[in-house]
Amino acid sequence: MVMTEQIHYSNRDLDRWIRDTAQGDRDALKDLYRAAAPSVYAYALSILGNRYDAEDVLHDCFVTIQLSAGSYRPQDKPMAWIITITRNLCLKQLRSQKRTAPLPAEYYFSKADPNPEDKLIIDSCMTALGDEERQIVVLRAVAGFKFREIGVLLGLKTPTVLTKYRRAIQKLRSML
Amino acid sequence: MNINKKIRRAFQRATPDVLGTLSVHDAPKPVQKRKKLSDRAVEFIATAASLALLISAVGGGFAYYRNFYAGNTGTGAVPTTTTQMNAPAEPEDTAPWSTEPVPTVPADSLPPQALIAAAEAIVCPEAQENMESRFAESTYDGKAAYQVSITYKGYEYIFHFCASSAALLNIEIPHNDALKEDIYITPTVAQQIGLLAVSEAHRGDDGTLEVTACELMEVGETVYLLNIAYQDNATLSAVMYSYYIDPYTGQIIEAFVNSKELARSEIRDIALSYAGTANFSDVKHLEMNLVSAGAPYYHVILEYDIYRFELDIDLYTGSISNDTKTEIGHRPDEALDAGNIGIATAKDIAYNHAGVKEAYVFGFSYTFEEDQYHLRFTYEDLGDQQCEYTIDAKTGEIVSFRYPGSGDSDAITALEARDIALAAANADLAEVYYLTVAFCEDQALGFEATDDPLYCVCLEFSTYSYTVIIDSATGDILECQSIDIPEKHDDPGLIGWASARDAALKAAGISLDRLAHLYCSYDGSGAYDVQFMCNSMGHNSNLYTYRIDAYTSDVMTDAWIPEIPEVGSGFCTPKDAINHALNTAVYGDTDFVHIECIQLGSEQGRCFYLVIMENYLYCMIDANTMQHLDVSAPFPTDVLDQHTAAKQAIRVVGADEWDDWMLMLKGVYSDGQPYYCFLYDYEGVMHVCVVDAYTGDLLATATHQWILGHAADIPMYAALQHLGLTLEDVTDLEYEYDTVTDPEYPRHWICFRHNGQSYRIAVGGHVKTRLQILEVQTEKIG
Repeated sequence: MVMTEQIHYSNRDLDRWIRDTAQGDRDALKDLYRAAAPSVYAYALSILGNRYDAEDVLHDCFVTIQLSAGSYRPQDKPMAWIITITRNLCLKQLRSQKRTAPLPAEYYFSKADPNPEDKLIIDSCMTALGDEERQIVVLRAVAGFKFREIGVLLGLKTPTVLTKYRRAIQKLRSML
Repeated sequence: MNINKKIRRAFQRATPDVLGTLSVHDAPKPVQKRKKLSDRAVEFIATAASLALLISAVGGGFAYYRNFYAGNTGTGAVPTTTTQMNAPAEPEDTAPWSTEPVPTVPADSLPPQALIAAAEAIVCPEAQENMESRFAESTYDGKAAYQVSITYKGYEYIFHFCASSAALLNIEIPHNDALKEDIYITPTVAQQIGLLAVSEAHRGDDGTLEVTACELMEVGETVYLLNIAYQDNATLSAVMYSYYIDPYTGQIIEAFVNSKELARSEIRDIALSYAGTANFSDVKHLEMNLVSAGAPYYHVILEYDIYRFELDIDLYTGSISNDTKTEIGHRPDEALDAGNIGIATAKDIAYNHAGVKEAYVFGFSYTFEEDQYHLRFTYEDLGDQQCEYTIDAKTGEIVSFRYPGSGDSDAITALEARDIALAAANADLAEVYYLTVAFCEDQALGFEATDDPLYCVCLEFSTYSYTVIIDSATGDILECQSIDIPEKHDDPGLIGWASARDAALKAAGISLDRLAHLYCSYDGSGAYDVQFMCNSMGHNSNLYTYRIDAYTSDVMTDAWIPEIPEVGSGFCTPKDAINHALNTAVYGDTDFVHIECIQLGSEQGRCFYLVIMENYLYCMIDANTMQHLDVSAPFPTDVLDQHTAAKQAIRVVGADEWDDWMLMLKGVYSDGQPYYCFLYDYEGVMHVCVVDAYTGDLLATATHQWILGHAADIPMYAALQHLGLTLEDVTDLEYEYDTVTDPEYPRHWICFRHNGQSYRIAVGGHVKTRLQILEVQTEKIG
């Protein structure tokens, strides 16, 4: 599977795929993966800073989803559930590392020859933005979170999220 | 392409495919704690639960708690915040058009022309001749409906009208990719989409809607910012809805619900954050002006480091709509700081002298001329107050100053009147233990009425009591009376009233020469009561009230705390108050899981209940009249602003930030007294402070222990209470803390056996979201 096509989904779709995943439906897991994996990977990458750890978290996240899907209760915010799992796994990963050495830019990509524009965008996100700015941009642009939800997740006030987001976008615009 | 889309696409392409490698066998194990409680632990839990209820009963005078549990499904889930409660519903994902047969359209429905005209007027009232319109009968949400399709400037707008009432149900805008990026849906359509959303949120309510702003703006992506004010006609309470609306599809991207404007301190902090500093002391120039045209915003000018920022910050969302950053270089006068005290020190000198804390300063600028710093700053205290200081740059001496009360108008100020009276009485301010300066009715005092009011200054010192009447226009003494009084002696061993006064002044950060009102008295039981006002201009002023330990000078309490009167005949019961709150039009339709009621009393004999439902709905009930205070009368406009009133309230709470309240209610008592009620939440304890909206004086206060704590013992109590059981009634009590089902909101599973059945009860929520019974599972044993 190649993650290139645009996936359109709603919270209801995600809820359904999680429910079906709990029943062992492999196709539902595939759909869920196609919909949620970019958000999980981007968010993990934004926290951890290198693709190897982000890939580990991506893997662990979907395993955890498989295991926990049975106890998931639809509350109209499945992506928040998934991102919270991702965040917890990332924090666990960070705790297990005594020190994180910065990696070269190419370590952001799982493909050897990324699209030049994609490379520029992701490079810019990873290098020009602060940690919080990067997480906000990813949660907003990739995971489609509302500013209020981002504020709740990161423990920031909504105006702070708005301001940081705006500043981050301005930085990215100046680089792209 | 929108930058968000580019980012999304880039990360999508960069995401690796690890799906094929997924294996549940090497998964991280979810952490679940499960343990059987010992008898001793059960005993401890019972004690803790009882203690928590006892604390709540004592702390708030009275606390009433009960679980309302609707339905038989065992899921008492309710929205947990006001925002969720009131936010417009997310658009349904189901197709709006049903494939079912079209029901018969009522005969009395409106003619198509009227609906087409209405739809065209929404799309663009001025250009209806340039539109193509179509009409069709159809269904919407399974009901008979009319569909009006209008094509205008490349967009197709599909309106759905109710066939029976002709009410607009929905507007659908299929996105047209062929359109240029700078062609948007019309603002009137965006407004209508927002109005529909607010109407949906208040369906069944009697309220008024008003679009206060609709602007196209850039917040990373282009959006329509739409502000809609909703006023509830029953309660007169207002809510401001702000929406970001996609200008291509009309979809609501994000909704913000604010019942209050952002405080100026929040706006200032947003500006500071944008400039890259959290330290206001580093700022060289700050101006904040509220612009009310369109969407209200603050225009903030800020100079920091070598840059000048000009920002427009939305009053409700805090988002920055316009910003400019220009390099101004190092200010020339900075170089002159060499050998001088520096602007930071000069600021401190001025603030200390004016008794102003930097946190309350919202405007600042300075110039450096002739070895002097000229500072001008605006701070918030009973409205905006402006001070000007000239400070010697070498010595730090205050060369001149002007602050409220030391004004430069022809009329003398309260402080000048005080000094005239002191001179007439041949007294020193330091030896005065009683002082009031107030305007008085000249005719009532027997003087001929003039345009300028008279000051009446009362002084007590040594063995004298003076009353001095002063013409506020000329400063002439019109009358000076004195009588002998017994000398005010302090008991041996006490620190003396003067020391108590100084301790209180020091605690408040006020200098003696600013006082226009002072009262010092020993209460006979080891404490001095000290009250004073500063910056008085003969009318409203902050009243500082302290109790000082008569032996150690320690500040015992920093506010007057009235005693709560006992509930007597004539007062309704807490249960009555709760029922009344539930039966009001505002809250009547909702099933509440958790309700608490706090009794608040005041020295004036008023008594009322604060009823809290689910931690997000509050109402005040007058215990005498059973009136819902928030609907009893319009709130007057000539009162203190809420921030000034809050400053008095926080003296009880001891909060660091005066605007850090969790919730503010305002209303009018049944006897016409307007009040502000502030609720602060600190470490699980709620502090309620009610202050006079005119003077800021504290009217009533109470502390209230939230029923739910972080520990597991309270959820266990709630689970048992839900079934009407006690710890003695159950066996095999077990407890699990479940972070897996919903990591965002962990739940407590309370498991036990009772009467031949095993029970598993999920209790959710934390100290903010409150306690909810989420799920009940039962199974017959054997």
